[in-house]
Amino acid sequence: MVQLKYIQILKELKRMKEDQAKAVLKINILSNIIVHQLADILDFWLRKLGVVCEIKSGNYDNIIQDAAAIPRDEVVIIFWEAANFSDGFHYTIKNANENETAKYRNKIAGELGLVFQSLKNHKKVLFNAFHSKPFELGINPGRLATFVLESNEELLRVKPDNVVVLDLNPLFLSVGLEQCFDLRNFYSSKALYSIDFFKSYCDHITPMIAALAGKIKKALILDCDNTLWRGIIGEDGLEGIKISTPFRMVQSAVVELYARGVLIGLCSKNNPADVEDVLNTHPQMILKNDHIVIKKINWNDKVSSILEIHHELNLGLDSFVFVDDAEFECNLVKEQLKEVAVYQVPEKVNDYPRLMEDIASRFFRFEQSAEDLEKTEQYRVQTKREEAKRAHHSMEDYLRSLELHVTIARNETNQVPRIAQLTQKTNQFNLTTQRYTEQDVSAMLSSGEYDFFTLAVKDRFGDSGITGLVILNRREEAAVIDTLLLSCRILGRNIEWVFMDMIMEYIDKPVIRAAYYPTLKNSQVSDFFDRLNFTRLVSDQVGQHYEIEKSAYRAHNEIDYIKLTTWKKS
Amino acid sequence: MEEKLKEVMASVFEVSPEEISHQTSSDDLEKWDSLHHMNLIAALEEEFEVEFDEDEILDMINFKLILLTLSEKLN
Repeated sequence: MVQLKYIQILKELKRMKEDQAKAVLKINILSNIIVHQLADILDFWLRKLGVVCEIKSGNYDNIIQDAAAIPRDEVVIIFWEAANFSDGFHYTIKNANENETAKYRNKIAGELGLVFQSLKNHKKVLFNAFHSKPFELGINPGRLATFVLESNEELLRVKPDNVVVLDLNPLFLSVGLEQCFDLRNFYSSKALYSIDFFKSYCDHITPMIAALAGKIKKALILDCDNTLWRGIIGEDGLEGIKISTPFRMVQSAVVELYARGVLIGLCSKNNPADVEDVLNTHPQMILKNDHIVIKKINWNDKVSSILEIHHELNLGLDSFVFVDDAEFECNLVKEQLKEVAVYQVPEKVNDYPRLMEDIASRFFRFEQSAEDLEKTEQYRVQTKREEAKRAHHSMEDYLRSLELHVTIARNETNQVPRIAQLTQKTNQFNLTTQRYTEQDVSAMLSSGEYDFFTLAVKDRFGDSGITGLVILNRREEAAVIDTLLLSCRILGRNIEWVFMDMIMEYIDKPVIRAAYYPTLKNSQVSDFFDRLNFTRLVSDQVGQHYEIEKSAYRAHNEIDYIKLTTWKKS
Repeated sequence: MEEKLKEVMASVFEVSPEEISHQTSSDDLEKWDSLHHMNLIAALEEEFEVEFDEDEILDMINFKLILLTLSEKLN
């Protein structure tokens, strides 16, 4: 969750409460210390997830009496601090003799019995395990820690099934002991925990409460390249992609979710055959075809693909979690499909398994029914039956919001290395896949018979650099498009049409010829010139040849959201 | 700083910033009890990136004293 300050939380919460949505769940916070700040923070955290609850705080040090008065259909959270088992317990226990210690032991056992007698039929009770922090921190348990250990044994022995015991120690570690406790407030007012602690606590318990409120995530939709493996299968090939330990950890976590009944889907801009190849044959893949209920491997935008998944699985978008490495795709989905929870793969791959653990926690469920586990199979069958339905949404609005700025340069000699590199490396959006060395490019440039147009793209998120190239052969009476390629990083933004418009406008010959040479990797552009209304000429072993009269070409004037700078204007 | 302080106090005590003046003390605001006082301290510490000790917390019972304590911390 975003790091919001306490005051921002209070302000936001006030605003959220103006919308008087009906509470779907009632939550009671019982405690033997002061935890009054938790209610607001929890309320805010839950509303952020779209879960409106009525949250009530019990009276100070009144767990037993409060527990007896709570209706059965309500949820209970219990903060029962060992430090305040009795007044000053964290230090009085140090000098307690065996007799006194036994008395305390009986007191706790008796009180636990009473509380659980009252709460055994309630919807759910979240009970923080007893702990001795921050009063005893030695690795050799002191008197308080020893007493806590015994009390936890008793707790686990007598607790009814509806009581979930939460271990706060990992949370103390991740937030930091200094940040978790405010001893000033504990010594003056018996308020032990800090705002930072409550924020982190809410991070952990909101998925549980959301699950109780019936708001659960059901489907995990994953990108492929740089999300399931490192590398781009269409560019690097089966041998080139890497499935290092962090990626294997991530995949294991995904398979674990599958086993818990979460629906796993793939949504990737790729050639389907490439991805199938990895799924079926890559020896290091842990995620297999059997785990995947639905695949959208195509060149459509991801919002369309996710909407298709949404229709075909017949699941609410608010039950989707989407993971992708590309900022562009993440933002597109975030902006167009607000209900979908979107996670971006971290830049440092070592942070990725931890993020996946966070993601997995979004799928929290209390119990696994056999039905849950069967569901995946049902969905798989259903998917096969159903036709893909077209999604309607405003892709254009999104592209407009990106503030795309395309710069086209012509015959820039200082770009020769990049030009050669692009011809060498680009496989997917590449019409003819002509490979040139730097020497080739230099020679062609100085011959004066070729024009080299490069394209660079910026948007409000960043600069993609030189990512497109057209090589035009002007030697003959017709202009020939020798090379046309775009890096896959910038696809899906309609940049290729604007690029073509500029080239066509520049050409001073009446007829333009072009070709598509199929390879194993460039099927996504097989109809590129058809879509531009070029006329098909002969098709030979090398590929399909095209032609168009300059006057017959229609520019894409409707694309008015791409700002253009060209060599002419600069 | 005064404006920011008023804003924080207003949010914590659930009143509008206009209701906070130099004369405001814990007697004037219904919500200003010991629990909300903790909220105020937590919010101020976060907002102004300072830390108050026990005695300061006990002393900060009206707007002027809070302002004074804060100014001393920040200068």
